[in-house]
Amino acid sequence: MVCRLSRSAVAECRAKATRSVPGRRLVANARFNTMTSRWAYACSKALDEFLALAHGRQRQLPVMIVRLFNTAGPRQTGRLRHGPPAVRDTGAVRSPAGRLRRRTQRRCSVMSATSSAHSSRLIAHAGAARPVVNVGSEEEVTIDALARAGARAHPEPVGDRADSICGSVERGLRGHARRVPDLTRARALIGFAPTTRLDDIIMRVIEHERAFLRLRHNALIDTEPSHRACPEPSRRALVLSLSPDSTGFRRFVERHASRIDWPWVLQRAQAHKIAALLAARVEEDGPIGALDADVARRMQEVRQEARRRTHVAQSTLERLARSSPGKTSRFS
Amino acid sequence: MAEQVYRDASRRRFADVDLVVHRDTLGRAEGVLRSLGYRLGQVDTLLAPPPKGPTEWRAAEASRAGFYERFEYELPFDAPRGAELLPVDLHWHVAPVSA
Repeated sequence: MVCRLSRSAVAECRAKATRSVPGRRLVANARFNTMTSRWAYACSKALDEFLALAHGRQRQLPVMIVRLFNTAGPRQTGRLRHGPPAVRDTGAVRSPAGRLRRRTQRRCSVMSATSSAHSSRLIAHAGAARPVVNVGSEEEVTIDALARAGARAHPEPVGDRADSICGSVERGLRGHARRVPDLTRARALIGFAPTTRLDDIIMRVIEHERAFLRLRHNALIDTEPSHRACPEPSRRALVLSLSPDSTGFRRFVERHASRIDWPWVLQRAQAHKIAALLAARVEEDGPIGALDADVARRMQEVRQEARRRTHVAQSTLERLARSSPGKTSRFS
Repeated sequence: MAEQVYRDASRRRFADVDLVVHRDTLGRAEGVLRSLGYRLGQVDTLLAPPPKGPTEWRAAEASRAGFYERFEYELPFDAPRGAELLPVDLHWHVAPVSA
């Protein structure tokens, strides 16, 4: 894309790399050995820079390479998040980037909005003699401290956050103990200084996630279902029945019970292996009395079968615990 | 997990019981299951032709267990017939290591 854009009248070519250290060594050593084992991600970053610089030379275009260090902030998506975005309030820490290996490793996170704004300003300096500039923060934090900061900001237990952040490090590759950007060039060129502290970044990520989840949940309950899309109220009832907060299901069903195709909902729930949860919700919060007699009977059968299987599961664990010397069952 | 996530375990569908053990204690855990009448599952469905007789069955079981321990992350055990027990998946990992 960079090449395509730069072939047009645009007089500058910019490549962004999200990290600097892995690529720097490769770029600096023009005779680097390709047989040296390197992390594929680091190689991809280095290749970005090779490509941008080579293309700039061939087309006589000014180039500016901005190396972004550990950007973090609201609205980040995908698997490349790490640091604060991984310490989320949802209870399910989504797969973090997993570049960080040990709890003692130190990283610096910079607010994504800050880095974007400053990257744009750096374009004005494209073509400088040294066209590589780091953008980041110098506020170092260990993975352990980052996990603690996340826990302070949202105290609900979500497992071992430090382990979650350490995540899936690829085998045989060493993570850097510290990664602190040298911001001298960015300061000299544009007076760069990060303005958002780590605690604020964490709070903003958490606020954004909470607001987003509320928005999505409320939209499911409150938006008027379309009359044209026949299964829509039914689909929403199914989705809401899965929510840990049962009030949404109750509110929606109270308003739209007559428009819900309960046989369809039950059939889909069975296909997705969530009929036990649906039947429990209907029994506890829904209109079991107002349902068609056949559907109500089937819901009750599902509920009874779920209770029976839970009892069998409990018996199984107890038998196993009794047969395993020195162990006791934790299932009660 | 059923209690923590669902608050009431009967809200969750139980098809089997998943047990996670340390890989070093896999043999001991397997011994406990066998003492209760559990048998390694899916032996006859994956092998063609299906094993006949106890000798072939034992060889097939050993071969299947070896395959699972090498490439998978769990051993599936069928509950003894007629017993009020659920099948047990004996895990030493929660997902294939290469995943």
